[in-house]
Amino acid sequence: MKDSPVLLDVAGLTVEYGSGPGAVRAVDDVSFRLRRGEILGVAGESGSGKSTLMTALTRLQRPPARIAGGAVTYHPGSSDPGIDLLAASPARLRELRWDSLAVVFQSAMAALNPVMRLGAQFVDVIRAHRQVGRKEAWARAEELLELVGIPANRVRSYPHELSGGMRQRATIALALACEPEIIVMDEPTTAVDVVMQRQIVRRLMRLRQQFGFAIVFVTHDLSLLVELADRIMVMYAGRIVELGTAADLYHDPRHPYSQGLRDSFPPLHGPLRELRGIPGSPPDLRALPPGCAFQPRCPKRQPECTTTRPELPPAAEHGAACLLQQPADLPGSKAVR
Amino acid sequence: MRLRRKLRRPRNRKVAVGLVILVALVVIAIVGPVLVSALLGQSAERLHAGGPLEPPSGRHWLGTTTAGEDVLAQLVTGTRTSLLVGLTGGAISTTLAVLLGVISGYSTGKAGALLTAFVNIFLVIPGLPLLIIIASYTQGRGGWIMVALIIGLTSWPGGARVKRAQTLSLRNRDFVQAARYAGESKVRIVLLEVAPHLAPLIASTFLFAVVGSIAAEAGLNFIGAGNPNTVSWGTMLFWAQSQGALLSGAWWWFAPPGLCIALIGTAAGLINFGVDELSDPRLRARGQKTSRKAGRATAAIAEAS
Amino acid sequence: MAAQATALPLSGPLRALAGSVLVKRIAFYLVAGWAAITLNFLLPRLMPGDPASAILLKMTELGPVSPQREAVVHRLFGGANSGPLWDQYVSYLGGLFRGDFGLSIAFYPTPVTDVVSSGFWWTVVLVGTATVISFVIGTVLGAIAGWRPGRRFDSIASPLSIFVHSVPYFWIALILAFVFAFQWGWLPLAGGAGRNVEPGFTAEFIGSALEHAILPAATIVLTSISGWLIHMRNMTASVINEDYVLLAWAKGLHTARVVSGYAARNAILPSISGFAVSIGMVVGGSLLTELVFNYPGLGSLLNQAILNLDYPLMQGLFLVISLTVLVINFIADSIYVLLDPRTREVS
Repeated sequence: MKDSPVLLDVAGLTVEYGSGPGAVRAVDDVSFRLRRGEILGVAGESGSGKSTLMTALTRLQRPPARIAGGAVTYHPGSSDPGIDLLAASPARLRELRWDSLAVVFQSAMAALNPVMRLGAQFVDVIRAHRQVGRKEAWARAEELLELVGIPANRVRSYPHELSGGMRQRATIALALACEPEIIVMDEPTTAVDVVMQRQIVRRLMRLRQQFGFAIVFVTHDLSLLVELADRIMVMYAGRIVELGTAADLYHDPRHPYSQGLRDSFPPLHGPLRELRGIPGSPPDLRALPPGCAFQPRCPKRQPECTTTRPELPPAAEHGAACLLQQPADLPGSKAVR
Repeated sequence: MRLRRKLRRPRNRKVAVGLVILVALVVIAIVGPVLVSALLGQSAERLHAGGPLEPPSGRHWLGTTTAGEDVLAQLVTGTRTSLLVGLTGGAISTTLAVLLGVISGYSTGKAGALLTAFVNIFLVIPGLPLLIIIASYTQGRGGWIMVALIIGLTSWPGGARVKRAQTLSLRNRDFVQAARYAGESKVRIVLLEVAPHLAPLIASTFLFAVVGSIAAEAGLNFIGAGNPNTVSWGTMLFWAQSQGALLSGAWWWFAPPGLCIALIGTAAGLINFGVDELSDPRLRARGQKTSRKAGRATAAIAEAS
Repeated sequence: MAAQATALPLSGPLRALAGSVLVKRIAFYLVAGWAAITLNFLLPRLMPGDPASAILLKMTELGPVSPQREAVVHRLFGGANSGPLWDQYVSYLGGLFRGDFGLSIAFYPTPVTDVVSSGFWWTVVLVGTATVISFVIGTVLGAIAGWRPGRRFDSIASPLSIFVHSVPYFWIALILAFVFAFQWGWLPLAGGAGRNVEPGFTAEFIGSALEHAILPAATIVLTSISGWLIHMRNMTASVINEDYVLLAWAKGLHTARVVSGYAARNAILPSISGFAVSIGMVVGGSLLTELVFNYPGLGSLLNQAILNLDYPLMQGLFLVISLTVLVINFIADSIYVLLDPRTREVS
């Protein structure tokens, strides 16, 4: 997987709420690469910026959120220079959306239009991107529903007539409508029970095998990502604090925050561990502590943590933005404030 | 992602403007008639100040009526009656709306269903014609109190509907269910758990019920079903219409009372709009990031329109 | 495409479901109609005073009163020696079904039914047309304002609507009449059509009626637009933040499709479900508007009835107005059931 060509190249992405001196930085200088067919997990508590990051990737952020800097480059082929999604014209963006880049939201109930038949919500997107007739589009909608285990006759149902699990699977089927290369998923399994969650994850893996799309999977559940993702990115206070393979993060989490996050969820299988929470609460983005944003909650805090902001080592296969991982005099870290 | 600017509660300009208008009118209602009597040296109820239908001048700022009454003096005197009718009618209407709305929303079974049907039926029967019919049977007996009473008795359905919807959603909330499982009595739950959450809604209902009552009083008088011998904004319009102010071009007679009614309605609307914006940022200019919670019904506005 | 989706044949059980909801609504409106009729029966009997004697007194002033006519008055209004309440109620209902509302006093001795029907269509056409126009304009403007809350259009239209919404209909009517009819003389000041124009399907009559309807209709449209506007503005401002609208954008749909299929499509629902409360106010305001323009509809008749203490006419008018509003509400309700599938669920 790590040899696959890069599909999405995010460089220095910064998202702010509001502007001017009162602006709050929800995503701060985030850089990563998504490879073709890869599942990239994004983990973090609420307020870590992971959902904001997701909306910014698809340029769905709404005022007062605005992208303050960076680039999101999409490489449809392996050789071309790529398209900067943040600079794309509205018309170009409209073409790319769903065709190349689809989204699955957290709550399927909220994401499906309650007054439109399920099938109609497939048909309008299919016909927006493909030159097909109505009949054909409806047939395609039935096909897609069957792909996620929903009987084809449900195509005429309204969202409220489906069970919660069915609705969630329907939104996944909807994401597949134009066979995109990238699907961004924002906590797609938090609204369903654990059994349904496992079913959905398994199905997702199978579908990925079949269609070869890449997934950016956002969740607060690190143990789920360990099962599902190829690589995992841990976010804290709008920044990436650790990036590595799923195995690395599970067996060898290097950032104290990743360690805490791992230990606060039971593993999906394997022997039970002692569960521990992370003391304290997520930081207030309006008033971040000096130095490392995590230091007030960090069990391994050093004196220099309050003065020096650690940086993620660039281009490392597995790296953490933590001073314990890197000598303070390395060029990768810089003093702030 | 929960970013809320709750600390920087902006002082809402709409609320401020609305409050200023409201306070000004209340002050006029309280001291106005006294001032008028003192200045003109006669009863505020019957004023003979000048010649018939004089246009506005330095002596009569808003001109005079066909009977030579000073329009400004009438307007000031009428403010008191109109506000009294508004407050009394509004209070009766709001009380009924809260009682019927909360009980029909909270009780289950046959009694609840019956009460709900009762509210819904009165919701679809047009209020103003009913009000006019009842008022005309009383033939102006009982003065403004009777008018206020009838207005209160006929104008509650809109408010009751909103209260009912809100109670229905509250009764399934965790804290109410917890109180139910803890064996609290119905009355206690309604008073201690449900009612406090309805308070902002009740306040806005009352505000609009007051405005609605003032407008209803005006309409009632205008069509001739009120008591034309009192002085209120409504009777001013009635006399202006029946004495042919329009055909005499006496705009100074019918324009001010209507403007006053519009002013108080605007004040209430601004306050409600502003309070709504403060509590629901999505309505505010440049709304904030999506809240994933189900869209809260903007009940008060539904009621306002 | 949504239209196409709804045009697809309903499956059997769904059709049955929609049917049962419709049956429920019909039952509700029948009960509401019965309530209006009963209210009409009870009011004169519960009120202090004796309307029946007052009516009979008035009638004797106008001419000799036969025993039959006296019985009709007692049937409609009760009064002394009219027997047990239940018997009165039965004979009252019987009279209504025969279409007998007694004689009008203001237009003595014309039957109330004739007086009411002379004004009915004037009001229905005026208020109906004005309401449709104002609903469409108000909803479109509200959607525009709510689409970009806080932008220039919104910051002008919304406060202005709050102001206009608080102005009494008849006051707007007075102002319009003063400016356009009295001062500038552009439009007729009063009446439903020119005095010398023979009513009928002639171009002259229709033209004259249209000319006379402009100011009353403008009053109703101007005043009621604001209610729809505020409503739609707030719903749109809140709906555009819903996930399903965000998803519609994410799908790469055209703006027009996002608006028609997702944003406006959903935002308009509460306007329709709140129609009952709104139309009651519009009808009430329209009645008073007619009065200003001396428009020959139900509002002016109501004014005549009140000034002449013509209780039979008042009763007839109230009944006709209430029942008409019920029918309009039923239509709005049915449209709502068609537009929102969630209401078709059996509860």
